[in-house]
Amino acid sequence: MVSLDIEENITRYEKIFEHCSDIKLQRMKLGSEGNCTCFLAYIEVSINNTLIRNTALGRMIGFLEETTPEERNQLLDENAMGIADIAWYETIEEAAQGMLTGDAILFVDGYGKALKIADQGYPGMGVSDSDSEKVVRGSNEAFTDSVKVNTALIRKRVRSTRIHVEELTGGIRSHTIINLVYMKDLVYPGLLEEIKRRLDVYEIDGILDSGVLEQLAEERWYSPFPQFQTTQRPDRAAIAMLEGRVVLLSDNSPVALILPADINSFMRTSDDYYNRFGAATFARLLRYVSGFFAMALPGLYLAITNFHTQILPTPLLLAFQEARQGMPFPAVIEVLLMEMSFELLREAGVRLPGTMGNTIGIVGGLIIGQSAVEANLVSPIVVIIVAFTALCSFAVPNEEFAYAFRILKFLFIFFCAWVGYFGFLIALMLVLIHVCGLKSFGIAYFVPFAGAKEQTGLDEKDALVRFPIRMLKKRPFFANKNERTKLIKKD
Amino acid sequence: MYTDNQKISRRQVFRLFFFDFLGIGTIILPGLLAQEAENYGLVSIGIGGVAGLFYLLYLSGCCRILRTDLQSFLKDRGRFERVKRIAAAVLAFTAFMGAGFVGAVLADMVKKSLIGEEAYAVIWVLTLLAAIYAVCSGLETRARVYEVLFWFVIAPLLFMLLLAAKGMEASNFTVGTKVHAGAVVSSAYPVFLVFGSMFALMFLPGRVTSEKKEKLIGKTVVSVAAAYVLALAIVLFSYIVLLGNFGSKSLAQMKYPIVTLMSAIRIEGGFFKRLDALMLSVWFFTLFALLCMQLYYGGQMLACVFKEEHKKREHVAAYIIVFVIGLLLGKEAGLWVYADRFFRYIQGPVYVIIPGMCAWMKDRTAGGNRMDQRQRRGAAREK
Repeated sequence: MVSLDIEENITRYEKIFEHCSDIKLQRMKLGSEGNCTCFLAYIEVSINNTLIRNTALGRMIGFLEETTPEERNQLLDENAMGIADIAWYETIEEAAQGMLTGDAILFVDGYGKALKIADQGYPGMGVSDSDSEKVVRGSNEAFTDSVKVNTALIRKRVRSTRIHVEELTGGIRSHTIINLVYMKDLVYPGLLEEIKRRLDVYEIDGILDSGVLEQLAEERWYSPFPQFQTTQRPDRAAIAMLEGRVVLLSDNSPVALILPADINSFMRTSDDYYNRFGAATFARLLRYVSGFFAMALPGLYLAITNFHTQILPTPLLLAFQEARQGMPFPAVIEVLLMEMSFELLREAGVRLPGTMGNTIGIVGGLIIGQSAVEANLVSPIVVIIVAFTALCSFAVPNEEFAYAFRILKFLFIFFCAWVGYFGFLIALMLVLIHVCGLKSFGIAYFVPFAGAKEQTGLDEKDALVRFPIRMLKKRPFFANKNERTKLIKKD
Repeated sequence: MYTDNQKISRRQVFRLFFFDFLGIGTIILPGLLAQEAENYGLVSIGIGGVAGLFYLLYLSGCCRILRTDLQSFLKDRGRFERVKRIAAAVLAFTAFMGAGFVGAVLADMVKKSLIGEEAYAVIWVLTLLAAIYAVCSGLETRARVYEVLFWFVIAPLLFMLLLAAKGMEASNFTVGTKVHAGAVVSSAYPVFLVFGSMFALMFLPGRVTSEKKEKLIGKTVVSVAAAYVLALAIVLFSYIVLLGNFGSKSLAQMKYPIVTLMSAIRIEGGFFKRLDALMLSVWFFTLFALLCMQLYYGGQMLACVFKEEHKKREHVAAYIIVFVIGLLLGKEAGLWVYADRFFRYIQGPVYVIIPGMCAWMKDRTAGGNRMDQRQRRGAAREK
C-alpha cells in the first residue's frame, strides 16, 4: 500500500527501480514554506521539461504549491485541479506499473495514494501514410504505434456512442495494452467471449506486435492462410466494425487485427466501396483471378509443356520448343531457379532502405533476368511466367494472404512436375479441402461462396461482384442477426 | 458458434448428391447401355430414373420411421444389437467395395487420358490419400468444397455437351439390330444402381441445418430429388449426344465414351487445340466426391461395428483394403466382371433391404408395432 510517509514510499520505489538510469526520481519541496514534500517519478523522455508550466503535471505542481496541508488530501481525491487524465494508485507496485505506460507518478507526503498524471508520453511516430495498403481513392492515413492514437483514429471515422473499447493487458513482462474495439449492438453474441478466451489461453512474457497475438490466438497455426485479417488502415478497421466484426489493437503495433475473417475480406480493399460498382467489380474479379494464377500458373505451365502439349496450338508449341532449345536444365529446375531468385529479390527489396530497395528491383528484374536468358540458363518464357506470377501475387491486397499463394505455388510446381495436370487437380483439391475446413472464430473461411449457414444470397452481392452500393442493404451474415440491415431508402 | 460442426445446408446437400450422381452416371452408363439396349438406352434411363424416384421416397419413409440417422440407429445397442452390427458390417463392406471401384475408374481414366506413362499405383495412391484427407476433414468441409466447385463443373460440361450436340447425326439414331424389351427393362437396373448413392440420405437426418426438428428430413429429400433429377437429365442429354455423335455400336466399344467425345470437340476460334485433358477435371471432381462419400459412410458404418477406441486401427485397415481393391481392379481387367456382379447382386439388394429392415427393427423396438399402438390408442379413447 502507498504509505502516508513519503520517505517510506521513496525507499520502496527506489528499490524497484535501482540501476535504472532512465527512470528519473525527483524529490520536491513545494509551497512557500516548503511544507509540501513530493516525489516525482517518470521515464526520462516521457516528460516535457521545457513546457512544464503548460502541462497537466505543471499545473499539478503549481496547485500543490498553493494548497494548505489541511485541504490538500481532499482536493487531490476530488481532482480539484481539473486534470483530464489522472489515475490514483493504492499500491507502490501499481504505481510503478502505471509509470511504465509513459506517464508521471507523483507521491505527496501525507496522501495515501500515488497519482498518475499524463504528459507527452513515450516517443512515437505520428500519423502517416499507409506503406502497404495503397488505394487510388480514399484516405491514406495509417495506424501508428500508439494504441490510444489508433483507437482515436477509428473513433474519428465512426462517431457513435455504440462503439465500445475494452482494454486488456497482454504479456507478463511487457504489459502491452490491447484494445478490443467493436460496435456493441452489431457484434455477434458469443464472439467477444471467444476472443477473450483465446487471448487468455497462453501466457507469454512479451507481446511486441499484434502478430504475436495473432499467432497465439489462431486455431490452425500450421495453415499457410491467415485466420485474422490485418490492416494498417483505420478506414478499413472502421468498415469492419460496421460489419459487426471486432478490431484488435495492440500497443506498439501499427497493424490492427480484424476478426472474424473470411477469404473475401482478404480480397477486398477500402476503395472497393469508394469507387463505383463497375470499377470495384472489375478490380475485385482481377484480384481473384490474380490470386489463382499467383498460385497455379507456374505449375500449369509445367503440366502443359511437359505432359499435355497436345492441347496447345502448334505455333505456340513450336515457339516454346524453340525458346527452350539448348537449355541445360529441365523445365522444373528452370522454374524453381527463377522463382527462388525472384523471392530473394523481393525479400532483399524489402530489407534494403528506400531507393536502394527500388534499385534492386530494377537490377534484379532487368539485368539478372536478361543475363540469365542470354547465358542460356533459363528460357524467356519461364522469365515471363515467373514475372507474371509475381505481378499476380502483388495484386492480392493483403500481404499475409498473398504469402499463402506464394508458398502454395511450390506445392503446385511439385505436383505438376511429377504427374502433370492430374497433379494440378490433386494439389487444387488439397488446397480446397484445407481452405474449406478452415474457420475464423466459427466463420467458415470460404464464406460467402460456401458454408454460410443462412445463405440467403445477400452476402454474395459483395463477393466476386460488388453490387451497387444502394443494393448492399444487409450486413454480412456474421453480424448480429437483429442488426442485419444497414441501408434503407428514405421515401 | 456460427457454423455447426458436421451440419450442412440444403444447398450443400443438393450439390453433394449432384456430384455423386453425375460422375459415375456419365462415365459408366453410356457404354453399358449402348451394349445392352443400344438406342433404347434412353428408355432404360427413363425407367431407371422413375425407379430411382420411388427408391428415394422409400428411403425418405424409412428415415421418418427411424427418426434419426442410420449411424445413430445402428450404434444404439439394445434390442437387435447383433443384427445391427451385421447390417453395419455389410454396409461398410459394400461402401468400401464401392470406393475401390470408383477409385479404380478414376485412376484408370486418368492413366488412359492424362498421364499414360505414370504407374497406375501412383495415381491411385495419390487419389486415395487425397480422399482420406477429405474424409478426415469432415462432412462440412467436403460439402463446402463441392459447393464451391459446382459451377466450375456443370457450366463447362453443359457448354461442351451443347457444342458436341452440333456434331450429332440423325443416322446414328436409327435403330439397327432388334433389341428385346427385356433387355431394355433389365438395362434400367444399372441406371438404378448408378444412382444408388442416394442411399446416403439415410445418414442425413439431424445433419442438415434449416431443417425443422419435427420434419427431420422433409426439405432435405426435396434437395436430393432435385439433384437426382438434374443429374438424370444431364446423363440423358449426354447419352443422346453420345449416340448422335458415335452411334450405339461404336459407343458400346468405348470404355469412357464421354471422355472420347471431349477430345473430339473443337471450339471455333478457341485457343486450345484439344480440351479433353482440361475437361477431365469434371470427372475427377465428381468421381472424387463419390469416392469420398463411400469412404466416409463406410467409416461411419465401421464405427458402428467396432468400439470407438479402436477407430483408427480399423479405419487404417479399411483404407488398405480399399487400396488393394482399387489396385486389383486397375491391374486385372477381368476383375471388372466380378465387380459388376457384386454391384448388381449384392450392393443393389443391400441398399434396398437394409433401410426397410432398420425401419422394421425401429418399429418393433418403439413399444410394439404400429398396429398394437393404434389398438391401444383406440382403447384409450373408448375409456
